[in-house]
Amino acid sequence: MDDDVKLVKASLDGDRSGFETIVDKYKKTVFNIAIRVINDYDDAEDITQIVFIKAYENLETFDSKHKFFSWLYRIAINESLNFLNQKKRFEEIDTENLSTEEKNPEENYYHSEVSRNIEKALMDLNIDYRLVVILRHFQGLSYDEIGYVLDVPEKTIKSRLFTARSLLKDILSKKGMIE
Amino acid sequence: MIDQKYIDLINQELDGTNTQKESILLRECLSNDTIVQKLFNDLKKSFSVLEKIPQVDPSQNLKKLIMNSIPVSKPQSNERRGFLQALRPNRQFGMKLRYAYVFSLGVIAGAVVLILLNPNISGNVMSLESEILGSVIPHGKPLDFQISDNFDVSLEQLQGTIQIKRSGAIILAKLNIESQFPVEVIFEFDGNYINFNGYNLSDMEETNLNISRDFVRLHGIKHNKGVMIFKDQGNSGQPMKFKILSSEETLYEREVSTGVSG
Repeated sequence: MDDDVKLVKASLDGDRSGFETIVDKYKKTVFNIAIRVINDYDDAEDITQIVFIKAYENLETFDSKHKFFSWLYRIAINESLNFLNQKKRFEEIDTENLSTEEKNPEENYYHSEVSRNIEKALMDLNIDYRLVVILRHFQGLSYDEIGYVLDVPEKTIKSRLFTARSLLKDILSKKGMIE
Repeated sequence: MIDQKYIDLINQELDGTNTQKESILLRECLSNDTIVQKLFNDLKKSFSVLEKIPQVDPSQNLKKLIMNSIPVSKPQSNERRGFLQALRPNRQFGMKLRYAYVFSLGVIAGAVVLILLNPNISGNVMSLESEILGSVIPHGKPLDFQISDNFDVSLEQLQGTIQIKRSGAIILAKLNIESQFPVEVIFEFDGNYINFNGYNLSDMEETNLNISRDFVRLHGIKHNKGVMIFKDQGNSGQPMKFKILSSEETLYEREVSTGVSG
């Protein structure tokens, strides 16, 4: 039984500290998935909270034949997409409006020049392509893990990943970030 | 037009999933085909650009926010949910049912402990403590509660006294806590030896009690006085850990002796 499954079991047995360890272990990753998808620091924190609350409420539905983090990322992606749908912000997220004023140090670091430009390039990608890039490049998931998280066949993941990389290459070239 | 086979090989190479044979095949192609070589180099560059993006740190209080949003009650197991769902048409009713259940248990446990500890009924506390044990040790065996640990907690806005007494397998933790703000009180123990058996605390909401195999956690403690009962199955004398928390921050922590009574 891996550590995550033990923690899930402990949480189901009422051990709050078990779930606290899960939060500690995955809060940053979940937050980073959310922020890459929606590109807003505060909203990403809200989504991270929602993800963990939903995970806790549905902990008994976790199937240990999958990795726990894949299950958690699946919730994170779904919640981030729900957020985008609700806000109807698929196409109109304006990365130019992200001001660094009155933001905390972590937030300011996030909006450093290089990362801001790459973020913009990422946000130019269609959401399907962005998700595979986020899960593959930022979270290091394998093809089959991404397939589980997005509920899409592995073959489609490979194809999307290649298209995403090609598109990203073009966008970055146009922005002069790669020669 | 690049052969799909090489496109796949390029992607697999970037993902580090090519076999040695596939890598050699790709290298051969790269050295002979400048178009494939350019594609590979461009993708590799964009790949490395992505690696420049650092992970973003969420705010430091995010964990606290999350834990404060998590319900105190434990998540339901499939079996329990199925049973409760059969009984209840909606979640709200289910919560009421659960509260009623926990409340009833608390009332029963509280009443039993109150009756057993009430000097007006039994004459003196020691004999009542012996009555408590009537169900867990053989009748007639003399009870001799001895103090295993006794300490005061004195924080800026919180004062308390805790006394641990023991007789045979039974451990009593007597608490008296006065706090300016609600805190959590936790007893941690090795569930292989020690079990939590019951409690009677003044002003204690039953829903604020969280029991697990290795700990018992009381939420919303402010002005509470009473006793908690544990049983040390094998007379192990294992120490427990006593903690006071506020908003997930540990305010006080101490190992408490449970002693071993003859």
